[in-house]
Amino acid sequence: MGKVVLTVDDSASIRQMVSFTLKSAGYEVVEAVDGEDGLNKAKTKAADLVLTDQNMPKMDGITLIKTLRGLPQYKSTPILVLTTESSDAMKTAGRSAGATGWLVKPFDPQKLLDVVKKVIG
Amino acid sequence: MAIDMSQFYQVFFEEAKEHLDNMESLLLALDVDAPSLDDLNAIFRAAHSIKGGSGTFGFTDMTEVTHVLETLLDRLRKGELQPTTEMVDAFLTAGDVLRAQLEHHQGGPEADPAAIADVCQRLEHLASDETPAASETASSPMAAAHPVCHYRIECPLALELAGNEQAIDNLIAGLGELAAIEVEHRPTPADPRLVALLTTDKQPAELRDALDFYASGDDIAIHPVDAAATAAEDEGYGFFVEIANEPAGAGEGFSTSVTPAAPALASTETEGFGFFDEAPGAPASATATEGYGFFDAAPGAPANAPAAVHEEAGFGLFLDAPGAGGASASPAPAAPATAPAAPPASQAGRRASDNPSVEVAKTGRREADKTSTTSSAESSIRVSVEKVDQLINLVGELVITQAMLAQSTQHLDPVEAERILAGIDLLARNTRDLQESVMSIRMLPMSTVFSRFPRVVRDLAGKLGKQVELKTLGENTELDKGLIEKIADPLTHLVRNSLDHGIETPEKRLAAGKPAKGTITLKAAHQGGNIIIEVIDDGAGLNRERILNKAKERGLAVHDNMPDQEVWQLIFAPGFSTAEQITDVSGRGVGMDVVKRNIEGMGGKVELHSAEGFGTRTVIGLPLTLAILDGMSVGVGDETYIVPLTLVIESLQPAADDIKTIAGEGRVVHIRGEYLPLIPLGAVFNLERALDDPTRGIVMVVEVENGKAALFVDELLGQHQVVIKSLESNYRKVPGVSGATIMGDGRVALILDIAAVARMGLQINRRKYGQNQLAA
Repeated sequence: MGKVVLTVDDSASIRQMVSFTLKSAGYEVVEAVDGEDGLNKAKTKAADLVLTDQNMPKMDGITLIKTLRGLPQYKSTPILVLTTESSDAMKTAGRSAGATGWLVKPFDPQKLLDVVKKVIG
Repeated sequence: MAIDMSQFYQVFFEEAKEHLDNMESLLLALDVDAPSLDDLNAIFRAAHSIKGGSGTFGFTDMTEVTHVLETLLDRLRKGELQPTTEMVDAFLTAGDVLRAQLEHHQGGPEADPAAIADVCQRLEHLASDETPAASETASSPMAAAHPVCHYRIECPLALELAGNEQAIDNLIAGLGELAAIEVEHRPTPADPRLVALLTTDKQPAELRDALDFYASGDDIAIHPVDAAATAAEDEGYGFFVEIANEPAGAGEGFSTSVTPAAPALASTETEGFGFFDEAPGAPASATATEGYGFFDAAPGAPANAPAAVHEEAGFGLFLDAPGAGGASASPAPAAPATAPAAPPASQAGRRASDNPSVEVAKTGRREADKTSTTSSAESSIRVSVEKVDQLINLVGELVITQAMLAQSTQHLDPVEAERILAGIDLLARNTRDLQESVMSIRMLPMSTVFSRFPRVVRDLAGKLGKQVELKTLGENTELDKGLIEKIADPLTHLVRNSLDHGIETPEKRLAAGKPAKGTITLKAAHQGGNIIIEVIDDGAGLNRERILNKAKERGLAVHDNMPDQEVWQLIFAPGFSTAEQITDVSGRGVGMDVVKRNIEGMGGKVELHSAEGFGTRTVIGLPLTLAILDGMSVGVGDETYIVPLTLVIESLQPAADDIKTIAGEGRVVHIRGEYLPLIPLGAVFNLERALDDPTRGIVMVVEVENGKAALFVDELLGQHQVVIKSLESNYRKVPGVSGATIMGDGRVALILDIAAVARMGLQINRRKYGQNQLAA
């Protein structure tokens, strides 16, 4: 039984790429199209890792992380925020929202796998 | 693990196109004086998504354009700048450029580099609160320079070169001629990569050319980097270590443990990932609270140092986080042996698109922001048009089979064969329903065509100095995909005409007591089995005098007492233009005659209505689909033909004294005070056994190009809905015939192209009766 990764991104192509990459490496992937959808999917299926984009309609990544951290079952689940830059402001925000770390876009499939491996093996 | 990224391209292309369309419609609807934050956010997100995707999939040219676009949009949504019409124009142009780039990646022609450079420059100027000098906005390729961008290049040299210091010097010098270069890693035999930061106004392609001699093109990676990121973030990267005298778990006030002795970190400034100390879920690090020994950046740092040994690592973890996974092994390549000097740190121009202090509206996001890919992901599927057409063909066959069954069971005794006849009836009903739903698969809403016009009208009105509002009605009316594609051009022409010749300048309008802003309305509605599309403007209307004068000049047969309707029809004559001066908008030699021809080619009609001073209304009637046709079957000799029902006005049996012969023109028939040319179908198709006496047959009054004609046939057989088969693709083009169908009895009936038949008939008449005249 592979570990479950929830990927939250409003871009279908990025979602597809992330999903394909992780599935090829044996992870189980749940896709969500925005923060709200991600929250619902996270509630219905326990994820071992959450990858979320920051800029999304309905609910952005930071809000999603904060909300997830408020749920008992996601208190200590690794959550990575995907962002297009690594500014201090973003890090402060990510950190205070409760993110485990960040991953800068664009990333290639290999880098994604490296990070996911690092976090959930 | 090598993953072929190209498999995701198609999804990205579709997605990007949707974002571009979405962005354009939002921009066109944007109220510059009171922009809505929601809209600005949505526009920003569209650009942002394209940037993310194009970066990920390696379409760096698009990344560059969206980057400057995003920068300006970001300032707008934060309220640092007020949107102006000029900005909206620049955004729209940027959208066009991105479209061209997108097409290029899908195998289209290359996007115009001058246009790209020009729009980047405009956007940068606007973002920096400066107004560009006029000379710079002129999009001449001479003036257009590529904007200065920062790139990180990574290029593994061929092994035989990696140890050749002379060659490496030459390469770096060569790059130095193109760009300000900052070498981060000089190739060595152990690690043959050249990693450098370049700041240049050259195109990535030119940089690539310079590198081509030294490495194979596929291995060269050139990524645009943020100016802010280039200016190495001092901390080097996202590794926050808990300060000893701070209580564990302090959520803020983290500091970096970068020491002067850690220059190597500077080379990971675009690290791209990081873990936060003490964040939930971070992998435990053996040295979590020790501070990191490896920060001294010695080569061969311990393997549990994630990222530190990653050139451009691309992620980070906040240490000491709850939920620590046990992973600590880092897939670290050998650390670079040389520690380059850190690039100068400049904090200028750092963007904060992810900065949460930006008040991003988190609630009340409009539904429309959701791209249709995402919203319809579960509720729709993509099917190739071929499959749908195949389905339509099969249903067509079924309809024919059903008609055949119906015909061959007609003679059965209704009492004895009750069950079979009931079955046939049911089959007829089901077949019809099936046909309708299959047809509807190919139907698209008119909005797919109407959506292009806001932009067309906006650009043209600006060019002509007119104020125009565009209204669309009935955009949900559906029409067959093939027709949608064909109607776009004629409609564009009509809208351009309305703008150019119809709507007056604001001064003229005010003088005429009208509001300064003109209105163009696009309207679509169903009417029976047809769709009616109207283009209405409230402009000056058609000028009867001018049209008549022009017609006289061109030697057309006109007189001053012609009814309006006939005068308007003159506009459809080939090469007829009433424009006082040829503008680059509509005086292109493509006239209304082409519009009319195109529409009639689709089996449609076009009419003009106009009132001077009040405007013009063009009405287009089209069949909903090209696959089925309501037709009247007629018998001529032994043959059966189908006449499109939309063109039939009436049918009658003429009296002998209604038939007259005009020398040189042939026979005419007198119907309700009009003399219509008599077109004998039997003569047109050279049929042996056709009747020659109209009083014994039937005369069908049909609409033709410039009026009416009387089609002379032997008998009327009935009215059917027929499945249209192309004669051209199954046999060859036949003059006077637009297609064929299979009748219930299995025979083929030809569908008439009435306009062509009328022309052929007139020629035959002239030959036949003209000779008589010469002989007389």
